[in-house]
Amino acid sequence: MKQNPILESIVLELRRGMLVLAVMAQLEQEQYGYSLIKHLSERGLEIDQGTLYPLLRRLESQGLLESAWRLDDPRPRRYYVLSSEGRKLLPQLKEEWNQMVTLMEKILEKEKDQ
Amino acid sequence: MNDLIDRYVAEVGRHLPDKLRPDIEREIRSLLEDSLEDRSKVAGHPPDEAMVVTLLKEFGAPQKVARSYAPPRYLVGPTFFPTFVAILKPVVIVIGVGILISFGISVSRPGLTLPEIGLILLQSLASFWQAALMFFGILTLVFAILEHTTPGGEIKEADWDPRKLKPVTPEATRVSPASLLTGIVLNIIALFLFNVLGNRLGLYIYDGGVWHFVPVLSHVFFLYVPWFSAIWALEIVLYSWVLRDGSWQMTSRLTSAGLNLLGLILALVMLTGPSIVEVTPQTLAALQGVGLTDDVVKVLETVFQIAYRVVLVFVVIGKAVEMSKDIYRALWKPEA
Repeated sequence: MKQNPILESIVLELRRGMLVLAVMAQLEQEQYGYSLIKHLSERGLEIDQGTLYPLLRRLESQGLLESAWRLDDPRPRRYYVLSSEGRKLLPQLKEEWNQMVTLMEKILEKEKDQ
Repeated sequence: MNDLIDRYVAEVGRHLPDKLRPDIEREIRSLLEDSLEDRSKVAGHPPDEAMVVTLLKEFGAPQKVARSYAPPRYLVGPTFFPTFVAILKPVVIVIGVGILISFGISVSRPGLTLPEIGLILLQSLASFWQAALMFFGILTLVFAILEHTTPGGEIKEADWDPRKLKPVTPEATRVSPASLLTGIVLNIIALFLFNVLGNRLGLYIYDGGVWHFVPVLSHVFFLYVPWFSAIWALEIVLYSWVLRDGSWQMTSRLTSAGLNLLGLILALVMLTGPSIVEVTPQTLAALQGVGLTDDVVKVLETVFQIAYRVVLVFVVIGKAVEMSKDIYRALWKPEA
């Protein structure tokens, strides 16, 4: 559908900020990489591993996530979950997001009216 | 099939920094195996080679995957690259011109055959290549050090105050990139000259259609070379730093004063220590070989002994003046 490279790059930019919140929201319960990709995909958000894993590492280095390898699974898997810091931040981020959505709706609505 | 995954994971790992490699390799393997298991369930048969190939293709080229994990690593990053090129280009041209002149002098001898000229040409090309490569290496090393020691350039919002901004005057706002670049280029040429061509420094006397080389520098002189080379190298780092900052600050001024002081001390040591020029029996023989009498040689030696000391006296005075200017500007006129 998206043939225009400029459009694609803008959409990519818009998605980038959104993904942080989407991933954090999924990690209130611990999940491993593939299960997280599946969860997001089932909710209509496709994310490739090349985007997801660097994002998870960044959030972990910022202290918002914790991770641990679990060896008792059929294969070794790294599980990620929100840290206490991440849990504190998530509601604030959701609030910020809701305000942005409301704001953008207003702006786009205004554009439509003009 | 697992062999393909092993090879893929190893190839991704090959493009990752050592520190990150084991962890990321393990993570990618885990994700690949989970994905494969899921696809095999959907397909209703165990994973086969075609399935693995499709999956790996979807994952993307190993280099691309590795790149998404590790930030790009530079020897000379985008901030310094324009300065790096701005210095590299003129110096390589200067080296080329120097070698060309040397080639011209070498082939001006009468009676040279074509194969001899060809050989001189090849030697000149080899010298150019050696000199340019060495300069490139030194410059890259200097910039790599700068790249990895310069802070990220992030300014803390609270740290700046509009009232402390420098007044807008043409002299005060920015340094002259041309003078700093010239300083860098001259220091690099001097480094090259004394460290690579040091044994070719001396007198060149044209006699009988041939250039004769007569060494005049004593072994004492070469003991000083590492010391003034170190000062020049530090000056290159300092100038590059100032070039990047766009202005002289108190710290860079004081660093410059410190380097001038070191230069002054070194010049004083050279001035008062054993002579840096000498007429060895070989020098004497060479000078006599081109038809100079003993008396002329003695006069020449005296001239050299006086001349280098006069030069050093000027260096000492120059360094003292530069140092005083640096200290004055650092402490009383930081914006100039």
